[in-house]
Amino acid sequence: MIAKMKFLKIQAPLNRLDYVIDNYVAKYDIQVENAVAELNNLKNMVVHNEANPYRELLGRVNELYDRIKADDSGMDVAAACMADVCEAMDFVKSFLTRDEEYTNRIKKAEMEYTQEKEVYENVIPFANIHYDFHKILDFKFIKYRFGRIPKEYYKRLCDFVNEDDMCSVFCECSSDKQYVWGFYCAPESQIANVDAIYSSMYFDTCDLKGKYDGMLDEAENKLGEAVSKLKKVYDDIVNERDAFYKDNLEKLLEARNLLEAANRNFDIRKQMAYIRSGDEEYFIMCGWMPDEDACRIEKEIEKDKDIITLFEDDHKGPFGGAPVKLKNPKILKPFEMLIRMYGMPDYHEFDPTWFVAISYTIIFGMMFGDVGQGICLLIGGFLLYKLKGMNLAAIISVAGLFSTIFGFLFGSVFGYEELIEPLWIKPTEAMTDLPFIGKLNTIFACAITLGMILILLMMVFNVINAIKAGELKEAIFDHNGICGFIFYGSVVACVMLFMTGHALPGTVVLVIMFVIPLILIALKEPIMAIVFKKTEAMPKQAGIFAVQAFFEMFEVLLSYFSNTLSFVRIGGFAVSHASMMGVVMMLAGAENGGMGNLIVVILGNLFVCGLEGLIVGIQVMRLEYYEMFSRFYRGGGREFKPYRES
Amino acid sequence: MGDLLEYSGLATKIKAMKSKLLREDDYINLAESGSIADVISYLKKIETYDEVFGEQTENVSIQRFEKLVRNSLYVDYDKIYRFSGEKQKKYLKAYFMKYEVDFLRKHIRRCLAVHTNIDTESVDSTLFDKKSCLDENGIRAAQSMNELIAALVNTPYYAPLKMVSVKSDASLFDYETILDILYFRTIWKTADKVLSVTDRKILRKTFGEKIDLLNLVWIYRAKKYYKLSQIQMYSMVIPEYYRIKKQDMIWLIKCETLEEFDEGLKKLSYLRHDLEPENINPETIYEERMEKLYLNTVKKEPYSIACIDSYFYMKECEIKNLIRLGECILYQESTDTIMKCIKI
Repeated sequence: MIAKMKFLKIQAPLNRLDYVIDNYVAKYDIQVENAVAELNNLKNMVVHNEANPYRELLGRVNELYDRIKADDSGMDVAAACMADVCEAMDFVKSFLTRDEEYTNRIKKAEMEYTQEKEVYENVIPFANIHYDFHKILDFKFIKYRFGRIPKEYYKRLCDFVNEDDMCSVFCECSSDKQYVWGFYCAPESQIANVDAIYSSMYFDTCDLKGKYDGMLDEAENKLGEAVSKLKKVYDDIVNERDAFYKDNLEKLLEARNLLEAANRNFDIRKQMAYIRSGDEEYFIMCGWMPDEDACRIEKEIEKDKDIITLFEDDHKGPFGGAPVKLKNPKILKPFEMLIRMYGMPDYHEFDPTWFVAISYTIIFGMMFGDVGQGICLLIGGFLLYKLKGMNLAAIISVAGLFSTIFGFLFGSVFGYEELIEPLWIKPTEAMTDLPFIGKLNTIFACAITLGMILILLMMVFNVINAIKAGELKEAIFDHNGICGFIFYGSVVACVMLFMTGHALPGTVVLVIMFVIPLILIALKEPIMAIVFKKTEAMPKQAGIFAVQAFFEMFEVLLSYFSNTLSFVRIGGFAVSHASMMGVVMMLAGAENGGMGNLIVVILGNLFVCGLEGLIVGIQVMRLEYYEMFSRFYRGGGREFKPYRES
Repeated sequence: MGDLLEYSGLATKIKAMKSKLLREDDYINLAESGSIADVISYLKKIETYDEVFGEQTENVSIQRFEKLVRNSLYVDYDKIYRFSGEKQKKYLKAYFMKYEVDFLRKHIRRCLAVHTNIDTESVDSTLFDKKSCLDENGIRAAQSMNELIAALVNTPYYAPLKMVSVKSDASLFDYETILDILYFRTIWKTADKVLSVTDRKILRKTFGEKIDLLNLVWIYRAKKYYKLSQIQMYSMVIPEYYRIKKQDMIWLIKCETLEEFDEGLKKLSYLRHDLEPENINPETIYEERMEKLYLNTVKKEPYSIACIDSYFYMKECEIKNLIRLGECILYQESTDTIMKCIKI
């Protein structure tokens, strides 16, 4: 069913705006529409362009939230301690200031730490030198250079230079994968040459100057201590900040929620119209709401004297009529998914959910009749639906139920055809003798009969929809309208009479039943023109009209035929399911009775259930959409989206 | 015969590509043309060049001409790459470093402002972009060596260039040397790792000799033109030794004069056959030996990595020739002079 909608207009003084939003819009299902666009006859309009005061703060909070990667799962926000959004804003502001202070302190501590660490790391490689470093550097006649040299070039240096050639000594202190740390010394007079040589070997001088004195090895210890102290200072601040975050997280979350709500409620102001009347300013808000809620809200608003409400049943705004809210019993809800996938129905159309629910599941059951697999689908689908809330699972579950029922009718359990007696027929074996056609699987004949009935039913739906929408032409002359119904119904009746061995009606009756509806369908344009007294009753170019009408009729007849045959697939899949399971049984060695290889049976069942279940599911959907919906469904409705859910 | 199966397709492709290289009569025709535009319209009849020149025939400056001619190398590289198997592709990837090094060299020169008028705006080759791991835009935007090195983080070039940059007086020469060393060492190691036994032998031979001879050429030039200290000479040697032993190399470096160096060269058994008593010039030895080496190996092992190497060698010669030819035509030299400048 499609819920009845009412168009609501609320007018109130501007200072009551927040009250209305909090008490009505946020409480009831209302789809808010743009008032300026909906009500085009407003006078004394005023423009209100206030900047949203919450957005910037909310942005900062969200940024902070991302940065600290807060884990708020399981946090109880119900224990609200903030009165309103103002308090939340104050809290957030002070929180952000504190956070900034922490960030600055951490930055400072980190800088001190890294600087000291650098000095320390420079000293580490030389820690085995038991000399006063500053004194060494101050030597007058011998110059020292401390640093590192790439290992590869150190090798070259060793290859090439023997100490006789060069007035210099290199002393290796330590090394890692890439570099050798050490120092070289040379007499003051030679130091320039020696520096050049080492420089061409990419010797990188380390800066060892720092706030320490005494022996290098002792300095290393001291520096190490200093570094770990600074590290501790840094860690302490970080921990303090984290604790601060942790303590305030709950409050922050609450403040964020409040801010988010306020931000959203503020944005709704853009949808309103503002008018001035005398000295006072008013706002007008409008939107759609379900009929039943409308009565309740009307009563509630009556208490507020200064708020005026107005309801309209059939409002037509610039964005079309009322939005569509599907209202169905809980068991049919999952099937709304299939409707939504095709497009929401028009507000004036009828909701085909119940029909889809019945036809989809029955056809699925017929194509996939197996007691065992059906029960599996039923249980599996139900569990998935309960645990994960998947609509598709619910559809599968109901389809599984019908699959089980047809399993009993066809006498098939997990592919074992002999286990139970079929209540109706065996799809692969049951044959019917038909005149003109000859021998045919009974299930095929049944499928086509079902198809014919469904097509006729679709035509009835179409007529109902057309009448509801006030489209007389569609209702009478369309090939899915009354004319089409008479023609196709007559064909079906004749076929039935012929197949059951009865005599056909007389020629005159046949002409009336077949030819007249077709002519009417072909001539629907001119006929309607005459009925509504339009100026150009007949098309000017009769030849073109005739050719066009001829081909249109040809196409219509062809589509009746092909659409009817399309339903053979129901029987086809019923047979193919039995055959596929037959193959599984053959592979399991159970074709002549007995259980067969259980593993093969289980795997085969899983395979067939998965593969065929999927194909059948898609094929039924195709029948629904293509053979049925295309005959009557108009669509084009927009879905009802209440503000409080957005 | 090498790996016939592995190389049959590639060798055939390369044979076909070789047949499209310029021959002597092509060069004569080209030398007779009156302008760069004529040269281009002649070259456009050849598939590869047609691709690189595209619609550009009129008003092409000599710099642009050079660049476009060079781009044909990438086109050929790409063709060979697509015809290669997995192993060859790994080798070709390492080989591509050569082009990246060339590219970097240009930008290092720009950053050190050694040649301010270098045209570095674009390589103009999408093929280069496709194969290269470099952040080209970052490199182009770099204004100093530090920025350039920063743009190379996460590439193999970062560590060596960074190492050079600690030197207070790091010069263009230092940077270029370190890049060359990197290239040769990389290809030397890749050859060891990825190729089959035959291929490895061939590469050991070609690259080994190339490295040996290049080291000699560099030492020779350093001694003759640059007056570098011995230790500096040693720092720029590619540290892989094939036929000339490390000790011999050190000994050659330690020669005080050029005469001593020449005497030293004569004593190397490896070079004995190439030396003429009058003229000992490592540069000519290098060129002659390399040409012989590339052409002989491919004759001996037509179905091996040698076919790729020799093709690149020939192609690079052709590009050098074309660039020379372009310059000669710009200066309106006679056909005879042009043909003398060209090495066929």
